[in-house]
Amino acid sequence: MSKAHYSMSIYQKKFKCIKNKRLDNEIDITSLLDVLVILLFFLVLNYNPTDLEISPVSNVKIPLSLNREYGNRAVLIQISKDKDFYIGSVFAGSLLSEEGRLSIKDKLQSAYKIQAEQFSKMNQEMTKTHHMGNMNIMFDEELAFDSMNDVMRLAAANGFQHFKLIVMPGKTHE
Amino acid sequence: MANKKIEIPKINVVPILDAVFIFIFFLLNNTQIMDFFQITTSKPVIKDLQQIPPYELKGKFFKTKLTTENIQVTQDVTEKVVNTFSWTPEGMKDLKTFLIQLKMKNPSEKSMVIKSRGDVKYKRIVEVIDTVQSKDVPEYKDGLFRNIAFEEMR
Repeated sequence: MSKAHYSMSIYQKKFKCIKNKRLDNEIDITSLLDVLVILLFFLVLNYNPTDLEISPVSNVKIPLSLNREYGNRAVLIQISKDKDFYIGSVFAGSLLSEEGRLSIKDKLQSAYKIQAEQFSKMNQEMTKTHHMGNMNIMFDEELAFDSMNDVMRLAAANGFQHFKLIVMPGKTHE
Repeated sequence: MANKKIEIPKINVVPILDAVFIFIFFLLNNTQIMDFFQITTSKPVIKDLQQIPPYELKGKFFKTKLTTENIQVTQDVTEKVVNTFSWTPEGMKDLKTFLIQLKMKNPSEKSMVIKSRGDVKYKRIVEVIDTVQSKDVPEYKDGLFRNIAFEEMR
């Protein structure tokens, strides 16, 4: 025990001890709050209010655009530079072969049916933003217009009417 | 009395922390690291405009004709060329300036058909769509020509 401790009154000793005990129990959360604020800031910056979920396949390079219109969930198709056709991220067939085209047609029809089922279960609020026959399309940036046109015609022939071209934010002009 | 003055009121941050954690959990669930946006288009024009009787046709029928060499802006069903631009950055700037003037002269027109040759790359088409739908003109915050449709050049 220190000299100072002996010189203290009983009252002082009692309250000093209690005060010290209280201090020991406190956790300093300032640093934790700092981290949380930074995390919150980062998350708010990256927050996307839509239900658009996209998992791009590795061989599709999405073009950059100045467009900042948020998308909604719909049937997603992806077309690579080599004209491989994906529904969601599942390979559906190649546009170059007749067999592939038939397989794509079948899968588009079943995707349309699934969308119709989902649409019938949607509440009224959702139907304002989600339309029957909506399709999100991700073309590879190197794809030529005749392939784009071919895909859109194929989709239109299977019931899809509204096409949304999915792009990534960025400057296009070189 | 003296003790009461010394006591500093402490804020209980536990409920705030609870709320923050729930908020973070919600944000994490809804966050996509990659951002995606969409360009709304109509399905390809199937009818040839020249086959439609003239009394059914309304509007100016502005078109942007794309070839690998240049960009032409046409109007009317006859596709009268009103201006031609190159694919260079300067050409794209000139196209934007021209489209702003075109919109000022025809404020009710909201549609533009992108008529492209088969060999024009999608990247180029997106570049043209960005210019046609430019939203940085204060008078036309919804975009110069909001509605886009595609047509194939034969």
